[in-house]
Amino acid sequence: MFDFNTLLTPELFFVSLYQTFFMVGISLFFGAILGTLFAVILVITKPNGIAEHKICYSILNTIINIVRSIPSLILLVSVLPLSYFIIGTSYGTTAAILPLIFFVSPYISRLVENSLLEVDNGIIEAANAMGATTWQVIWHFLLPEAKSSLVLTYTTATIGLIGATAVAGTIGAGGIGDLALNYGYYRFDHVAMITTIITLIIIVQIIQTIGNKLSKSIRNHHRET
Amino acid sequence: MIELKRVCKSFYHNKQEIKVLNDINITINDQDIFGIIGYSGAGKSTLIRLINALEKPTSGDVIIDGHNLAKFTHHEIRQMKQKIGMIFQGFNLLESKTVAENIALPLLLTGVPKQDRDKVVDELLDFVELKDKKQAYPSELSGGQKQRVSIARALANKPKILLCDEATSALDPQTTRAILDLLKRINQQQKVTIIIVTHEMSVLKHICNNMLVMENGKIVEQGNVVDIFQNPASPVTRKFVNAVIYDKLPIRILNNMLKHDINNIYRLEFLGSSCRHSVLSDAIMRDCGKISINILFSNMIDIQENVIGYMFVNIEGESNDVEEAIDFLKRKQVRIAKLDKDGNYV
Ligand SMILES: Nc1ncnc2c1ncn2[C@@H]1O[C@H](COP(=O)(O)OP(=O)(O)OP(=O)(O)O)[C@@H](O)[C@H]1O
Ligand SMILES: [Mg+2]
Repeated sequence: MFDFNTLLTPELFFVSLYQTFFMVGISLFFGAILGTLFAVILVITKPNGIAEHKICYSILNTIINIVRSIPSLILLVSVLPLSYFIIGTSYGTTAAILPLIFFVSPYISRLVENSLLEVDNGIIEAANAMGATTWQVIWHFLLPEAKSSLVLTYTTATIGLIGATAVAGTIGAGGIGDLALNYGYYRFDHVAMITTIITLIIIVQIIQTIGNKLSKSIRNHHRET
Repeated sequence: MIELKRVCKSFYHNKQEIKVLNDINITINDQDIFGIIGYSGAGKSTLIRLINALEKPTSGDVIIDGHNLAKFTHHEIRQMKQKIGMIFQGFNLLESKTVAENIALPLLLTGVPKQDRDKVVDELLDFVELKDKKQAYPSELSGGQKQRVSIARALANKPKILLCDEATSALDPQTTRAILDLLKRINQQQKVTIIIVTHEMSVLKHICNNMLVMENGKIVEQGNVVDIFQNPASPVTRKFVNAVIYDKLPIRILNNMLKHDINNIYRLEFLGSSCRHSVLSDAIMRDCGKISINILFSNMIDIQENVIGYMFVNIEGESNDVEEAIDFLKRKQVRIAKLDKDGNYV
């Protein structure tokens, strides 16, 4: 019953892999910037934050909550028309990037927000006592102190994003997810299915390991030297 | 000079007012070491945070060197904060930065060039005796060393005022002593006004000139440290003073005395000048030994060159001879009280 006939060629595999990395890379880059920006705004404008601003906080907080509550597939398709509007097509790897950024930015901003909230209040207190400006508090105190936690946050976000690109595969974005779906699922190509699953497992493992190591080395570099 | 005039401070929780400070009036002179003591929740931290504008008074004025903080712009507030150092119970050092980077932070914020920063950091490390820890991270330091780093950081901008909120509460007595000595050195060498919040009377005793006692957001007593130690007026103050110098005969010694039917027990209070005279022997000699004074227990401390203390004695002799001896002691400025049956000194 197990069929070893496969349509999967090395070329197809590597193109898909490349497409996945391309989508993850670009959307991670923009998602991280936007997500971190939103998170910083949330943390400083929150009640009792260093630049408390009720309206700004509630608007941003609500938007993030709304976007986060939409299932990823539905979010991706609903943003596709916007891709069409901007780059002229709603199909393919490039078109998927915008929806992916929409998906990952709020996700990252929640994760980063948590990392930033972990920073000891005493540090912010010390910064205020020194007369630091809001910008200085963020740049010289908040972000450096959250660094090792942020690395883990971006690691988690990357892995989440790989999952989302697989979902984007179903709307014709290409990549590993597309491979699993169009070959593995619709054409009962077990080899393609298993190959993609194993590839995903390996990629996620590698990313998680690197992330953990990096975060730990930031946290501990002083204890080891 | 720091002045707080009719300062009140309230926090609001769900529209409900929590009065934390009530009608606070204080004057702190330049180069003073000023202590603020009170139990947890008395409002000490809130009070000290008013001075560097971490909190705004709900009403009343905070005036530093004649400038009312309420009239300052944001920019002026920041400049003022740079001239007020602050250290904390939890040290609040950045774990992600080395000792040198931590100390350089206030200078970085004010835009001091790297070369000058390095120079100041080296001087400060020298001053707090931590030269060898320059490249260490805070997690590699002991509590006392961390507090030294945070003191160095607080001094980086050459402040005129140093605020210490429970700066020694997380440290053992020996380390506390060393940190207090360092603060004293800062006060004397760099002419810095120091304000210390604490719940330990021993901290005040070691270095403060003036002090105030807080309870439930109010000042219950305020004045010179030696005076307050000698004459604690309020019950709270008395409790704090008793933690350092107990004004009663320890209960076991007392019970032992009562068992042996010894009941002519007096408490002699020695303040200031009376300590320097041989009052006890004089009292015995003037009556040619008609009375005997037996020392049961004594409690003495020194507060910055002043000795204060209590001595518990048993005076035996004919009752009018005893009376005369007591009158003599009173004339010599020794406050004297007799232990009554209920264990009170009257
Ligand atoms: N931001 C705030 N919001 C509401 N209540 C506050 C706030 N800050 C302090 N309080 C309240 O004010 C009171 C005094 O607090 P404060 O921290 O000044 O006391 P403290 O004397 O420093 O106590 P401790 O010795 O425990 O540090 C407390 O009852 C506290 O709950
Ligand atoms: Mg406090």
